[in-house]
Amino acid sequence: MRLGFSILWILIYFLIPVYAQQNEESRNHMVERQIKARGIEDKAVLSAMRNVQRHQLVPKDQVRNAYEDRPLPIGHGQTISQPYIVAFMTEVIQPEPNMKILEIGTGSGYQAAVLAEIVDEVYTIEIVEPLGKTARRNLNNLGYSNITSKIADGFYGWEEHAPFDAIIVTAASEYIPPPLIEQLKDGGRMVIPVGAPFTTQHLMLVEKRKGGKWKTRNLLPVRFVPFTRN
Amino acid sequence: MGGLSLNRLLLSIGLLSLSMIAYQLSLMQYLSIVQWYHFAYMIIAIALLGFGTAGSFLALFRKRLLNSIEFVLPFSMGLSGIFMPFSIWLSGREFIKFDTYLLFVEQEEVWRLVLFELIFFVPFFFCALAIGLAFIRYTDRIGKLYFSNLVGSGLGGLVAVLFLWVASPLEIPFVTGFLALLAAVLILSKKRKLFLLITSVLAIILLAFSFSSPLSFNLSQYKGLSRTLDLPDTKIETQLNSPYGYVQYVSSPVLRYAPGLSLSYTGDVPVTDAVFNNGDWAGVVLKKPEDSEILNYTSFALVRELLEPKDVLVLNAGTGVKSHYFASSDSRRIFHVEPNEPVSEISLESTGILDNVEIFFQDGRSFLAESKRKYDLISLPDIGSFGGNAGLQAIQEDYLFTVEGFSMMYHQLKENGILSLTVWMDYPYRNSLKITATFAETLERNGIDDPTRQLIAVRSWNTITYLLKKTEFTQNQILTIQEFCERLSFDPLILPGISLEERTRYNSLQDESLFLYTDILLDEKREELYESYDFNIRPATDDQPYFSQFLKWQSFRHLQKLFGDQSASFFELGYLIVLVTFFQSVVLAILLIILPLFFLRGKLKKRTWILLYFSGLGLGFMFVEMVLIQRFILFLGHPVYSVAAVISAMLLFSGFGSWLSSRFERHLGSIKTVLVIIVGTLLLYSISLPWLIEVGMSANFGFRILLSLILIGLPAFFMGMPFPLGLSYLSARNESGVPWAWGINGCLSVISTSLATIIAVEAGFSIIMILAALAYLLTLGTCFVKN
Repeated sequence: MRLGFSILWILIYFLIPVYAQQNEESRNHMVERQIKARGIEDKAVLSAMRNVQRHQLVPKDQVRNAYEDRPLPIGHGQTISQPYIVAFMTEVIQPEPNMKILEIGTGSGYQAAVLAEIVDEVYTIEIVEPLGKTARRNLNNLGYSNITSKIADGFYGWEEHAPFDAIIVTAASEYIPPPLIEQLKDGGRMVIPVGAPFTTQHLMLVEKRKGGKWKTRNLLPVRFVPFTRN
Repeated sequence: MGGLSLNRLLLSIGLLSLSMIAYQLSLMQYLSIVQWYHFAYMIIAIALLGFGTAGSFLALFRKRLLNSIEFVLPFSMGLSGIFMPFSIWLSGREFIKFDTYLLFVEQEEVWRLVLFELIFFVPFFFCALAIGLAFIRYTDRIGKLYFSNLVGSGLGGLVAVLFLWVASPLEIPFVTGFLALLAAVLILSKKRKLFLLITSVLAIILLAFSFSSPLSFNLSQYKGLSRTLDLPDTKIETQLNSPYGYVQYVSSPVLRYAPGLSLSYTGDVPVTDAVFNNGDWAGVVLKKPEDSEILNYTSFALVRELLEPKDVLVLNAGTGVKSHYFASSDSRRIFHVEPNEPVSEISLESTGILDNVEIFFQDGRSFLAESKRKYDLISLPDIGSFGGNAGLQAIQEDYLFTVEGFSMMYHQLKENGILSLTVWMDYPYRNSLKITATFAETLERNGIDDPTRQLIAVRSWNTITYLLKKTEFTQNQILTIQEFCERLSFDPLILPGISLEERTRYNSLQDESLFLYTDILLDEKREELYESYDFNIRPATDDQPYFSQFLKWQSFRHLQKLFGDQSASFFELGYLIVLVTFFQSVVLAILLIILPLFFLRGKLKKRTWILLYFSGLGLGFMFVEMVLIQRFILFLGHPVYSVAAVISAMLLFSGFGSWLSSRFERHLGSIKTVLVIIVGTLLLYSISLPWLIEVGMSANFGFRILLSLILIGLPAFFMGMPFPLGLSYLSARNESGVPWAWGINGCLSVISTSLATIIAVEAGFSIIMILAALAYLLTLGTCFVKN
């Protein structure tokens, strides 16, 4: 019995660092091959992508796929976005340390974690209770104290903490709720993914200008190549 | 089966065939609900290979099976009946549960798919084993047995339609299982008392379960209904089944409706309920008609800025949101046309109907053909969905969005009438470009050289609304459009004399090729763009009515490079599934049909003759059935009527042909005559059927039914003869070849279903009809080869 425990401890002692090192290597590899190679240059974003332990935020059966270049199913018909899309969305809102950011659709919590590596305050809302609870538990385990989450209807935003420097809507929506526009600071940026699940998504950037004016811009995460063969 | 009378056997085979077809149709609906229609199509195709496998099984173990036919025949029928509901129960277990959406994402889903297919293969295999065994035991009465098989199957189609009105897809498999067990009881010898007792008790148990089904729907988590039910306090209020689909009414405090809402809007967004059809989103249900006014802040409102319509036709009106929107003024008369009766009924009952709305449950094209009225406004259903869909609609025929469909609408507009259509923005650009091309070609077909004078389009951040006017837009109207765009922060996409800056004032695009391609499509050079663009943006026609089919196989590698294998697959998921089905069927057919041949080398003579003769029949019959179903959708006004009428009429008339053929001499002369008639009729149909349908579309429904029966019945009557005649001819010369021949016919029937879809998408229905004639010509050719 004692011998059995001893072997177990020795294995744990040696295997955990190897496992952690493997994941760190996978992350570095992911950043180099999937993110930097596609043109993401913001140092803070790259650093955040290297730091966040994506494998701790996906369901157990997806841990081995955590750093693959694709979205992964997380249950309830939702996905955790492809790492590159998360990096792209983060870069688009131009995050800085003193910022306050609202996220609509916590999902796995990965996007919130990436933001929390860069900015001071992240507020995140999830409407599907089981997803929201799992994400909150995982983010707490990873020690993110600057993320505040709640389970609610994202339509209303989070008025108590408004205005926000930027808003990230992680779930595609047919319309942009008027309260979210109101809770965005003048000069603030809002980004929304557009596209069916598992397809390469493009993004909609909304820039709020002074005096209630705004402009939208349809952004492409892939390098633009014309769809004609001539 | 010493004491068994022929009549009891005929009745039993008829009942078994009826139960199997009814089961097949209800299974199709069950699988469409828990997964998607395409997935159902794939599973059924593989399950139907059970017929081919049973043929090979019979060929291999013919003697042994015939020796114990008294036991094997009812036993196979019984197992088929038990597995009808049991397969559904098994498919919902956690270790098997499969998801179509994950097929191109997770490798283990491929194995789950194989398991899934295997489960549903079982009831079809046992049913086929029973029918095949009866065929080879009584080859001298094959004409009557085949008659019983065909008539039973034909009635099965009609019974299924009736069942779908009164029962849910969870209850029907128990009823069909009961009928299959009843078929077994009918032929059980009274000497086998224990077997008879067990079968009767099982039959009663299945019947009892049909009143209180222990089965449940295990929906894919990616279905719209699953995701909606995950929302707080969201629940299914009511549900009803029909051949149109399983309709569920869902209430929720967090569902809202504001498609492509202008960012300038600062008011409330109405909370709505929703309706789902087979687990897929069918539309929102407004709490009150006035909630439709939110549309005033979307690009869809443009048409109301330009004219005050009196007669408004809303096609494929669904849950009635647009009908409510236009009905707000008493002076208007709204014609709400929707083919899916339960969806509209359940929604309009909830919201309430205004007095100025007239409701028609009919296909849009068929309504237009019958209607003598002209309209101020014709409103088409929106195309696509937010962010584009996953290509699931690729092989869904749609006769509204063809050049012929648009032309028909154009002719039914009043002098200043307008056709309105909204498209969700997608990327890469497909829907919007194909719509622009369809409008341009419609105008060209109607003698308009410059489409930009009669076509305008306005773009919000995620929708584009097109307006096609019967006459040119006036200068005042153009000013109104500009004002509308300014007020709601939209940008004109098509407007006379527009600049790039005006096109991107509020909503800019990183990929501005949309503007260039739109301009090219409105120009005469559109043919060049059709050729060079990576997607198929050539307008759909009645011969190839697949608006949502965009895939060009030669571009697929390019798209894979750009987007990766996974994303590229989702561009045309529906079409890819058909392709997977086709290849799966071919591989399995080789494994199940060709390979067993090696075990029968010594016994089997005339192998090439059998292979070619029965392959031709399998291909030809299904090709004709597929084309007739598609053609009669337009003629009868609804896919459900078309499928029921074509399948049932074809099988019934073929059954009569088969019965009559039992009186013919067993020689090649009679077969040749019949085949010449079939080939001639099909060639004639390939030219004249589209014309006959177009001419007959405006006739009254009774006349159209009569004409349908004649047009379907005529070839079907003769097409029912070559199979029993061939089997009969074969049995007289090489009896051991009969089961194999039967299996070949079954397998080719399955392969030809997916093959016909691929040919229809790539080449059109007329070509399939010609190929069907060629398939029968192949069979005819074999009759001239010396054996």
